[in-house]
Amino acid sequence: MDSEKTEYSSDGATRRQTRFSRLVGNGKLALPERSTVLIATMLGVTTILWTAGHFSHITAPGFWPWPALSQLTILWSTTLMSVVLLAVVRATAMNPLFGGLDRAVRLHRSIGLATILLLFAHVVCLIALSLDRGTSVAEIVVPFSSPAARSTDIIVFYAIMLLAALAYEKQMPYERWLFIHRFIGILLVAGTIHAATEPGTIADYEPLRTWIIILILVSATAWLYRIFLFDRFGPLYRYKLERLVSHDQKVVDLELRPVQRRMMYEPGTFVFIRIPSLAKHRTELHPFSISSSPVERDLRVSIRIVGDFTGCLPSLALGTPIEVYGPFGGFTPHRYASYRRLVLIGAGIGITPFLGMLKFELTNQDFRRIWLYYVSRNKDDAVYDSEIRNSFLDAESYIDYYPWQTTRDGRISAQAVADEVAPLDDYAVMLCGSAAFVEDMARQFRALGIPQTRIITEELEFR
Amino acid sequence: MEILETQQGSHTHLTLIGRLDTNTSKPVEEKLLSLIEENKHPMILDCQQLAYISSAGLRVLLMAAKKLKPINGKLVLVSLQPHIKEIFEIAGFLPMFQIFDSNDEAVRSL
Repeated sequence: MDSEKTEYSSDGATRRQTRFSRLVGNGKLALPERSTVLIATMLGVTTILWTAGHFSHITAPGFWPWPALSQLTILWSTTLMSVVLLAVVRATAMNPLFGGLDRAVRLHRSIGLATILLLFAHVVCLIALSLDRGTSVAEIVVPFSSPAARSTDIIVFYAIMLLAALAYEKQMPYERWLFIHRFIGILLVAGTIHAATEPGTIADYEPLRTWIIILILVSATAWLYRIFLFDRFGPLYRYKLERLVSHDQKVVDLELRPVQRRMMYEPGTFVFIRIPSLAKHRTELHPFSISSSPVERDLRVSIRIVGDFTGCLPSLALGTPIEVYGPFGGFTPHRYASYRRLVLIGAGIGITPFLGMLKFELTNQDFRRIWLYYVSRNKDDAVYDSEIRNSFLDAESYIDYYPWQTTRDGRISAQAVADEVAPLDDYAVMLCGSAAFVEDMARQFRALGIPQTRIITEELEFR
Repeated sequence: MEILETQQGSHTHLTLIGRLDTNTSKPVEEKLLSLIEENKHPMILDCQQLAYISSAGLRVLLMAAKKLKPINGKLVLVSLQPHIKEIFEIAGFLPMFQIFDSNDEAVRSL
């Protein structure tokens, strides 16, 4: 049962990420998302310009495979890099393009991996080319091995690879991880600037050079905004701590009252908060779920206590100024108005975005049929059970509530949910919890024939 | 919410006027329970003037239907507005109730 407990435990604070599927089940294809169109277009432009730049000798002997592939891989890597950096810029203007920051972060993670793999492939191609020509491989992989070695490039490559590997380090404290992770962006931008100014394909063909310069400007601007300008120009709202509710030192609710203007948000979204009075953490921004309704005066965020920052929260004094950036995310039923029947499944602290949705159901007069599952290890861990019980009967929508305790009921399964919902089968599923839980449940629902567009997920991770 | 009650032959005719939501469901619940207690069924629930129904209203109707079932009682609904019928459909409640377009049809079904 240990593995089961691990699988279904929340991973801590409400750090979140949403996954939305592009392909529809039942053999149909949905329209591609804007971000997919963006990436395909950018890669297409890069490839066409590269082809045009090499038009005179594209079929020349010796150009394929290694010289051509080494150039294409680095250009594709550069192109994707600009999307990777743009995706996490946290600018509200980017929301229509990426569909919310949570979706953008997910894209950042997957495209970021592709960027690094293409960079790695570029070096592999260079090594293959070197072997083909009988030149020294050391000049490509060992810095300062000879005067011809491109030592700076090699060192930057290793640095990027090291930082990329650290990006998947889950044990590192979030702030330290974020601090280190930021350097990948500047290294990638610097590497691209270096490549663009070196004699070669990019410099030789003006349209391609112009395109790469545009990509560099986009990437550099996105990185600069994200690292240096977001604090000042981001969507900042000033609040103060009005009430603090601690649930057995495991979870804490911060109820925040607006000092100036009130932030408007959709239920299910999230915010970044900063608490300047916390000496050791005064510059840190942490993402947390909103668990209040947009019609309420106070903004509530619900946080599981897992680290240094969250460990400080229960001792905050009332009236403490709190800076709120947001709202972000697209894990909200209002973006899926056509789905009238919803199965909501929250595991552990993953229940919190549903609390906001549920509160909004008290007033929204937007009738839906909802089946709400609150998955926890046991009754003690279900800290929001009584809150749900006390309010769900008054909701406008018809809500069936199932507190699912894994020590009592065993492992929740999509089949068990489907049996409860039957004979209805045209429902959408919203899942929030740890990555393992969400992944497993989404897979089960897909296996039951639920179209992927009807499976809306949010993982409790933001790295 | 206004509830008009008339005894028509062997059945009770109830007309609901207004909104059936959290704030108004209690008197409707009490009325239905008292009619069931007094064996004043079958019942026809005229929803022509029912402007809105929330989950609280649905729960009241569901509760009444469940209480009637073991005593072979009957609760039929008549003249639902399209948006009310849509709520029943979304909730998956259509199979749980007999719903008719006219009072005559409802009476014939009893």
